[in-house]
Amino acid sequence: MDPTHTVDIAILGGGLAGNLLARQLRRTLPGLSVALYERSQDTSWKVGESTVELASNYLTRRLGLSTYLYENMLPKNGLRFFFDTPQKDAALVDMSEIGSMSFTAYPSFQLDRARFEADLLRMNAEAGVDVHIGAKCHDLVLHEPDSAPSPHALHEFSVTENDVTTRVRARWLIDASGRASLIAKQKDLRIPTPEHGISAAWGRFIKHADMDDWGPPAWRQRVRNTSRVLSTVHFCYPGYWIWFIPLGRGVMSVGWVGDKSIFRDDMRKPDGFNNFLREHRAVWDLLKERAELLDVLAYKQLAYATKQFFSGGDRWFLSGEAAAFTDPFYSPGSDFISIENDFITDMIARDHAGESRAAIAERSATYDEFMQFRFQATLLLYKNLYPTLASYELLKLKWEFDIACYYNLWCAPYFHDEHLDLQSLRGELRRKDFVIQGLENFSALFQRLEAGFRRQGLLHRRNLGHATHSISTIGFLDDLRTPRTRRQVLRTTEAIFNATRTAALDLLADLGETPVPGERTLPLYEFMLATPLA
Amino acid sequence: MTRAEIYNRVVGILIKSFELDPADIKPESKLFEDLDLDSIDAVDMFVELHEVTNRRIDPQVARQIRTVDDIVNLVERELNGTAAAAPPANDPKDS
Repeated sequence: MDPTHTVDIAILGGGLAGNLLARQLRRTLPGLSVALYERSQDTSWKVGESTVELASNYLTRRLGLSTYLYENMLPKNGLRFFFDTPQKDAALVDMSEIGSMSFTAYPSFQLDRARFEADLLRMNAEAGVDVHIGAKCHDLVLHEPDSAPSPHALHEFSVTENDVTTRVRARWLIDASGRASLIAKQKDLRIPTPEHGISAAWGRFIKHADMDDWGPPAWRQRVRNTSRVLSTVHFCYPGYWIWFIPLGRGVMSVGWVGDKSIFRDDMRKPDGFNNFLREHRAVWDLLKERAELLDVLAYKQLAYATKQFFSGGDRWFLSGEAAAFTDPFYSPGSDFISIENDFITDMIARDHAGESRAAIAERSATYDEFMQFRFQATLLLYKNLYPTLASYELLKLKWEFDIACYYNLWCAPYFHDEHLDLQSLRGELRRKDFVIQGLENFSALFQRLEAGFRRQGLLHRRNLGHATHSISTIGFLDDLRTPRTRRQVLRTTEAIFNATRTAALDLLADLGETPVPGERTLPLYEFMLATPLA
Repeated sequence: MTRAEIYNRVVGILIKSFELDPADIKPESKLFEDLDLDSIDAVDMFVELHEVTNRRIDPQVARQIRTVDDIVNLVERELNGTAAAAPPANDPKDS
């Protein structure tokens, strides 16, 4: 029989999700022992380098990583989008651009995941986490009290390290194993999302050109010499986009994300990936033969859903890609990790403090419903909307809508921990069908605009020579520093919805299409009924 | 639910959600003019009605709502519609 080892909390997976959770648990519940098991020997390079405002708030406020991040990672200068001709032959400086002239009001970071995760493993070990590297977990037996012979039994799994196998028992078990998804596979939780067939290929380059020391002075002056390099730069095309994300120390992550029908198998190999990038003049100008591609990876199907994120009553939880993934556009992955880890830590803390199993199970169900809502709402940002990437005008409209909704509906409540307040969460969930309907209505409106632009050959008409540096829909950012009433949130929602619809009506008028109904301003509920917005 | 029960339920929602004085609420009360509700309140009201009827609110009907009685009519129609379309499985009339 294998030797056994018992721990309070076992975390399967030492990537971003698992490491951040281990840190959070040590900080929040120092009396509980935490063991973390990572299969890989070396902290391999991973995709997912950009954080956005919610996750950055989690990293700095909750996890105390502000100083670490500013000293070791790059500050992010928001998102930046460039647009091209149908022939993909525009020079970078001629491309229309969306992107700010200064850093945004709320911090975010570009993470070198390999360095960050290696540092987190070290910091976690120093903080008392029992860290196991090169540890393969298998033969998992979940303890589910309703079906188990003894209500006091623990979860069990085997760990093989250096050919030695140990049986581990844990009261709480977290699957943060990424796409290996140990619990999701065992419990058959995975739900395919064929409705969003998006693939990706990405690589790391060195010796690329420096975009901040590029082009004529007037082009750099156009953004007041703010650093474009520090933005997540998107080169946008019909059905796909190409990212440039700086990882620091001379390394640039370059990736392609797009419709599965455009994906080519040879993009998994360095030559194929380079050949694809070469078809885009502005992209290739920054790389050319002088840049060296260090490595390349690809996934043919990125998105998947899960039937369940947490079972608080049964003391098992999923975090990060072990649960679900939507799309890398807008970098929502670390936002999901932040909320999931907060929920998991909260449930373990309550359980440890003696809260009843029934109360925790009820809370777990609400947290789960919120994650499903968040997943559904996030997928609506992307589903059927990749064609809008072709057009500066359309993406400008969509981007301004999406960023405003993001701040208003998701960031602000997180900043004030409203997601951990059951009453507030339940109120939000009561409105979820209406919010989803509103987002679906806007998705349909964007699709209608794209179809109209495409029919009339107008998708590329403003793709050269235009620039947008400020976002008209986010004038409320300063209000987010303190908690807002529900009425304020909904009032802001109404303003965002009307501003976006008004701009869309103008574009429809450009197309010669008559909008119905013709009112310029609608009351909020009109946006949330099952009826077209124009 | 009888019409009287629906009326009481709707009045209950208005009192609870919008802190209205029961004495002010009459069948003919105009929601926006008499009861001072606004477009944000309307969203809350639709959320509540959705929970009563368990059906998607018909946009055409929603736009016509002006008075408390209009809400009662909407709920009554939705509930009857549900009953006609899908009688509960344990309805004794079915067996």
